[in-house]
This record gives sequence, C-alpha cells and structure tokens, in this order.
Amino acid sequence: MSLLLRDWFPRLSMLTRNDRILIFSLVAIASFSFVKLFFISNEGREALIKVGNGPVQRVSLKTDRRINLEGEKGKVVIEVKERRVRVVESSCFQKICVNTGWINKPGQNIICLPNKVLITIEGKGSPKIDAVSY
Amino acid sequence: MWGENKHKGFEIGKMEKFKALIFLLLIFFISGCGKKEYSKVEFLMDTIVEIKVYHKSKAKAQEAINSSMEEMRRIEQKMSYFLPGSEVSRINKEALLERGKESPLAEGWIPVSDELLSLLRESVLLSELTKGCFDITIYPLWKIWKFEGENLEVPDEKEIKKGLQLVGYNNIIIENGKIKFVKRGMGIDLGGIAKGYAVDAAIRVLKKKNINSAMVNAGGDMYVLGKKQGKPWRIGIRYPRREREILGTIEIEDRAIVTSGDYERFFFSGGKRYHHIINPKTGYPADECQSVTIVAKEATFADGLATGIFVLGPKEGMALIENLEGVEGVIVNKEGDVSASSGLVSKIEYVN
Repeated sequence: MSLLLRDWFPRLSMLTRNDRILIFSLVAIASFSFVKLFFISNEGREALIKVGNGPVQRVSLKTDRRINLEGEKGKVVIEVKERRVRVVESSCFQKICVNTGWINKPGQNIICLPNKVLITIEGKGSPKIDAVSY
Repeated sequence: MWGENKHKGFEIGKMEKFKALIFLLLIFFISGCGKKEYSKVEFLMDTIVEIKVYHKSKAKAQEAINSSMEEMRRIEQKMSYFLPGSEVSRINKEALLERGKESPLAEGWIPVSDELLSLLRESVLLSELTKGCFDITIYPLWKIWKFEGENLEVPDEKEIKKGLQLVGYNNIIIENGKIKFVKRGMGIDLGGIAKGYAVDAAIRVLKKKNINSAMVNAGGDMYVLGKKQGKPWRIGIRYPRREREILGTIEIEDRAIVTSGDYERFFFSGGKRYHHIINPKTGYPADECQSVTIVAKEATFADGLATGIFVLGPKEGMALIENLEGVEGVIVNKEGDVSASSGLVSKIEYVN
C-alpha cells in the first residue's frame, strides 16, 4: 500500500492556496503546542491539597501565601512561595513532611501520614515515570 | 488504483470519505484509543492508596475506581491488627483466652473466615520459602517494639527474648477452617502481606468491571494492569538513602512491584538506626539490606517475599529470586550496592 498522502487523497491538488495556508498553520500551531506541552513547560502551576478523605483543594502557585490546615493530629501549615510549596509546621511527631522541603515539579509530593495530608504538584508536562516503588 | 474517480466537480467521493474516516480512526488509535485517565487517592491501610484507570467512559471508570477502593477498605477492616473490630484483632484476642473447659473455644481452636484462611496458607508458604524470615507470627515482637506508636525506643533485651519464644510459623496449626496457636500469647500481624493482598483484590474488582488499563498503588506497593496508552508502565525504584531520588526505572505490564525498605519507619538511639522490619529470629531490625524490590505476578506474593528476602539477606535472597519462576528483583545491600536478578539486568535503566 502506498504511503504517499497524494495517493490516499487524490483530490489534494484541488485545494486552493488559502486551504493550504490554513492547513499549514493548523499543523504549525498543533506542533508548537505539542512541543510546549511536552518539553518546555515543566513547571507546576497548581498544588493539589488533600486532607483526610475530603475533597481536593487547588491552590495556584502564582501567589505567595500561607495556608493553615486542620489535620488528623492537629495543625499543619503550608507555605507557597516563588512557585514552590512546603510544609512549614506540622503537629506530627516525626516531621517527615517538614523535612521533605520544597516541591515544585509535576508529580512531586509531600505526605504527612499521621495528619493524613497529601500535597502534589499538578502542571502541564508529563512526568517521566508513572510511579515509584518504595 | 486509488487515482481513478468517476465523480466530477467539488463533491467529495465516497471512497475519499471512507479513507478520511480510516485516517481519523488511525489517529485515535495511535493516541490511545481515546482513553482518558481517571484517578482517586485515599488514605487507607496506614498509607496513601491511588487507583488510576484508563477508559473511554468517565462513568464506568469512576464506578470501577469506587468499587475497587471500597474493596480495599473492606480488606483493611478485616486484616488490620490495630482496628479493634477486625477479624485479625478478634483472632489475636481469642488466642489469649484461657483454654480450660469453660473456654468458648474448644482446645484453643479459633474459627477463621475462608478469605483469611487462604491468606494464612499463603503466608505459611512464604515462611517456608524464606526459611522463616517472613513470619506473620511476629506479632508479639511487633507489640514490644511499638512501631505504630509515637515513643520509639529500643525495648528491654529480656522482653525481646520473651517475645521471641512466641514467634514461629510452625506453631500455627490450620485445620478444618480453624486455626490453633501452639503457645499462648502468640498472635498474627499481616502487615507484611496485607497491602499486597489488598492491591490484588482491588485489581480483581477492576478486571471484573472490564477495565484493562489501570494501576493500584498502596504506598509504593503496586500492580499495573495492561499497558498505559499503548505503552508499558514506567516505574521508578527508590534510592534507599536518598530522599525522593530513584536509583533506576523499569518498564512492566500485568505485574506487581513491591519494595521493602528500612527507611519507612525508623528512629535513632545511641547513634544506631532502628527500623521497622524485625528479624523474627533475632528480635531486632534486620540489617543485611537497605531495600528489596520484587516484581511478580501477584502483589500478595511480592509483598511477603520482599519482606522475607529483606531479612534473609542479599546473597540467599538473590538465589531465591533466581529459583522462583516469574519472579524478578532488585536488592540494595547494607553497603548500598545495587544488584538486579538475571531477568531484570538488561531491563533496568539506572538513573544515578
């Protein structure tokens, strides 16, 4: 079977100049977005915060701020600064969440199991791995 | 042969319409059959559980995810040793009862559900495979170490010695849907296998709902069903001593991958590191490995085996992996050296 576009669509030659410009620009826009989506914009845009089995809160990383949450064990303070997120203060005993430090890339997360708090970064750009076994 | 066309003017021929349709379908096919990703995260079994499904229909995907999550919740309610209402808690309580004539249990026989019974049988099989390094009768020792509590400290040596005498999978007798502990004070802790079992059960629910592309991940112990948008799933393996770094990745499909590591729960005392994987023979944390990752056809088996091999040590552990069919693994020994089983050597992509 032929792989030439011309052989599949013999009426391709009937397209006007404007048709061709339209098709060309559509393809150009599509490839540009594809490249941007997959290679350039790897920075997170939003943090998703989940407390217990409650709903997910979305927090934009554009605005610096502090968020106070009530976790399973008590207070958890989250800080958003310069498009990064961290847990500043937590009522858990091992402070694994606080020690995790800043996160800013899609797919990264901070977990506080005692307080049942999960923070993940969402953003355009596909993470290279689907999950980590640990 | 495509060149001829008897229609005239600007009307598009039927053949061309058909060809365009095939073209579109081809594009859809390449881009993953139009399947979309749906996922849900919940705090369950003392960890984070994520179920991810790829499916065309949003309603069907979400329904499957919810049923699957519900199944894991059911298993937690049954298998947890710290939820007082669980079947495991009931067994551990009844195991402590007096065995006189007034006892409700005839000569210490404790009734057990079929589901738990088959899991107990698998646990015993894993104990035999790992020469007793995986052992669900570790419960008395686990109680002494109190890893689920907040005051982590090294227990008294005498207490550990006393606890050790109550550990031993050979001292469980399984008969006619009942179990019996040979020594009083024994008990079971399914912590080394229950997460894997829940993952398998969740996958079974998804399969029943005709899902063929999914991942169930219970705190790093997971199963990946089918492919992800036409490609195998790419899973990272954590670097034991480097927080949030991976040592390498592997691509798998229709497989479970489970890791046991010494970094999940630990504390320092007198400059020494104590972690939560207790050697059932010494009563102290096992120190031959930093982490053991097992890839197998079932998460239940992979979970128990990873724990057992962590205790067994890197040398005997790797020999066991090579001997088992359909099982592969990665072991990081106490020096931090990484070794992969023969089936993974060429497949693992090292990052660091």
